[in-house]
Amino acid sequence: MEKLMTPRPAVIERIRPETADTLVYTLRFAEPEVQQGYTFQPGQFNEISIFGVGEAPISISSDPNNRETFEHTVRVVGNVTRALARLREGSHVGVRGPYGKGWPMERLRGHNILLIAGGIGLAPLRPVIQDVLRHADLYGSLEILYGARSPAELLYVDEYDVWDAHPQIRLRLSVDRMDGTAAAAATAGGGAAGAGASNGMTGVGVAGPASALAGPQVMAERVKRATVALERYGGQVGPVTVLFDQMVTSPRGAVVITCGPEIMMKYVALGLVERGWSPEQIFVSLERRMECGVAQCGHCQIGPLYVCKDGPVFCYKDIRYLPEAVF
Amino acid sequence: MGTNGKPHLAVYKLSSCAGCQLQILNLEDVLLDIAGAVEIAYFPMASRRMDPGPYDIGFVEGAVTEPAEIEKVKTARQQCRVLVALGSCAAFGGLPSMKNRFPQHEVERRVYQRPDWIHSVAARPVSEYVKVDAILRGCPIDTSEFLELVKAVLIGIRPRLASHSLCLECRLQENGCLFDRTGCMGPVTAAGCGALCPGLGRACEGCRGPAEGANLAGFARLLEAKGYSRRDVIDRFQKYAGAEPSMAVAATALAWEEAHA
Amino acid sequence: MGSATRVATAVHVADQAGWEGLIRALQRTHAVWGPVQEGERVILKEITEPAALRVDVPPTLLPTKKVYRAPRETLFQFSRKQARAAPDSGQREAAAKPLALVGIHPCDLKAIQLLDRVFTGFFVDDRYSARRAQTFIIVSNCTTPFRSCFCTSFDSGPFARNGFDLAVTRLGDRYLLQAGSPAGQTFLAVLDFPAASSSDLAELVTAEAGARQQITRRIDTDGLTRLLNMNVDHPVWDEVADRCLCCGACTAVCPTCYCFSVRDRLNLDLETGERQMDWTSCLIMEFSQVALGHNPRHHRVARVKQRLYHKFSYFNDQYGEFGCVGCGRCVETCVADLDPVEILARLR
Repeated sequence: MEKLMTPRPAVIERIRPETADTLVYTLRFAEPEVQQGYTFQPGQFNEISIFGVGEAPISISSDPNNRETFEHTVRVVGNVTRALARLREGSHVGVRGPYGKGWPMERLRGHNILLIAGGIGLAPLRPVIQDVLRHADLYGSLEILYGARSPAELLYVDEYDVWDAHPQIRLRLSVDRMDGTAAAAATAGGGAAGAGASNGMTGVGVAGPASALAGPQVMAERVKRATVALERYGGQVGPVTVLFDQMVTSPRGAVVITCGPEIMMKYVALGLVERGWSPEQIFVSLERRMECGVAQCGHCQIGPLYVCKDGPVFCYKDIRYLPEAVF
Repeated sequence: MGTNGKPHLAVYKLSSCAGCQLQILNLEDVLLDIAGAVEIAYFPMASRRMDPGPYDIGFVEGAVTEPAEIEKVKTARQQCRVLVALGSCAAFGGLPSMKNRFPQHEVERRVYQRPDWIHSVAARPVSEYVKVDAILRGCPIDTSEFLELVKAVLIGIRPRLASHSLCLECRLQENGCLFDRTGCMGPVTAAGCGALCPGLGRACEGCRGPAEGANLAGFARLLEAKGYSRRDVIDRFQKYAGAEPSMAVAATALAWEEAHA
Repeated sequence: MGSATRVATAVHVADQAGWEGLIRALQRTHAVWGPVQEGERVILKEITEPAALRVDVPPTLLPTKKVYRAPRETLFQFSRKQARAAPDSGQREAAAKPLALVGIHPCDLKAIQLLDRVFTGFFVDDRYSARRAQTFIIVSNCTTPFRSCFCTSFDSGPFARNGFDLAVTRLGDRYLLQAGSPAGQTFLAVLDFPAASSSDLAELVTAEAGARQQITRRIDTDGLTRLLNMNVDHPVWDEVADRCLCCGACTAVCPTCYCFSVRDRLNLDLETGERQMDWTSCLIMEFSQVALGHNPRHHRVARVKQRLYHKFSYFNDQYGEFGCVGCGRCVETCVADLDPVEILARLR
């Protein structure tokens, strides 16, 4: 019988620094037959293992049509992601998945899409964008509203021109603040300390800093490009909801997909409902502590739902009144 | 790193019984393995060799109870990349912190014939004076937790040490519950000791300090309902971790309530 | 594995020697586990001496879940350099004798059936289902229930209905045996115990009725899920949270609590190690904390509610039944004397 929780080895083909604390990993299963049999839906996640450190659920951020490799966009926040950041191209990690229910792709077909993302929340939505780019005829328009804390934290800056140049796609950006870019660049190269639990060590140990993260020069260069992009794509200062006034997608026959901090998604959902969208049209991706990925360890439960199995993508209508959701 | 590429380890002692350092020495079965991975550069209790800093990982045993020790922990912090409070004295003030409820001069007079020779301050955890990267609970520390921490530091991750209540650990070992008979401190004490005392039929005394988010007020009410006096309850709270913030608040609140009843 | 449907079979009678002979016969092919009294504690453990097995004792400190998934269990061994799980991990298991659970209470049997849904319902856990599939179960019907029992609320006792290979009911010095599966039937046939007399059978019926009558503690399950969902902010939850120490003892001893944590434990060589599962508890602070430190159940009242809502509401949505079997272990183990029977009655 297939072992439920045993990961398969995968090779890191490529590591690309994305922001000061975020890296994009291109992975391929080491066993060709495993890679050949591997497909995923946009919005699903894999469990990534660093043996000796642990396992972390990370959403897949690449084109679902690419069967050769898959990508994860990883922000350094905990033990596993910090250990990942110390690996080099050619290293092996353990991977099992894909898990969870992704974005409602069937529902998106033939409809206009309003995609609203905050920070790292753009990662699980990128596969949708890439599917639209590849199969434009299957979809209506795609409007992307994307916000980050500062220009330095905008993801996939180098892809915006390709996205927005597509006749069906429109991109608008926002940042919480324009400042802080120098500080963000300065923390590059291992600054991300992670949360301090009660016993927690907040710093890195003696094994050295996360080597793959971008250095200050690379970051300064990136911040420049991000600032240019902000200007080009209607950059506003404020939470992503400040872009609502520029929004062109009308509720009629459209679907909203949103991912970001829960508090952001809450105000996105409330704001859209106020503007005439129905909760039934809005899909959100929740973050809960997931350990096993297969609805057995119990950690990610929210009400009767297992976020790992029933989500992470949920229809807003189904979770807005759950006692423990922030909505 | 040392010249041989191994991380350098230091062990400092403040006001303490040296029992936690002894626990490290008690690891003789595996000490050679540890010594293979680290260079024990400064450990006065174990070796005359005392290499100068900086060190990669430092352990401080003992509470800070005199001005000279304040300087010592500051030096230790400067010398060590990772600084760990070793045992409940360093982590919470430990047994020495029992004196904190009395005026300092009274404590000195009670203990010493010539109090004018003594310059002590209230017993405080190391974290009161410098940033601490991790704590190892216990009086004394648990050796397997010590090893977990060393391994975590060596591979550069945050150690996952238990911070939940001892009861969970104790029940999983199928020990009979001692609470009704002894007022065992297990329900509010952090696990990680392998339920050593309850496993031997002895009540937990709370040497590992409070579990994360422990319901101390509820526990105090429960003890009083079982017939323990307010003074008993405060004594239990102040025995090992009276200087730990949540314990200090709980004990102070209990004392205040009693005084204003 | 006990088949889901009960096979109607004759009742047989064994005396003490016959019963011990039965266990000895089972030991030839199985590792026999059952309740053993050790001082004041009742422990579920492997039996060497058949006489040590007790069918008349209170629920074991830890329930049967520990034989299917130990409090700490190794998933696989790994090597960091090779960055993979050892291919032979878990093969030791295959060589071991199959398991027989003897003398478990009907409530614990029901709990196993609930865990089946958790561990083989949505995703099949290979190790759980392998252990479970080869288990021979002799359930022991309770003729004298214990002080905290409320199994009748969930129809999980005092007598078992299905899911066993054999059921035993001890009446004085006689052991009344009845098969519940083809495997049980075959096993019983070999032992050739005499059939029960009509007075034995009458006594059996009286014993069940008597046991039912003795269980007076009850959770009213009628509309319970709805009642809970309508009372999310009921003041009783704050009162419970004031008393609950969130020590997790109740979850450790609960036969249907299944939550675990996964963690890697490195050997001293810093190169090899094991990935392990540890039982954990939704009552502890760290349980729901996410990587950046946010904790949706930071407040004690949220953790307290999670435990009870999961048993009496969410489990129903997830698996179609209540997640409680009324064994009373949580009541017995709680130092703060919290009792779901009382708490839920407060909502009515």
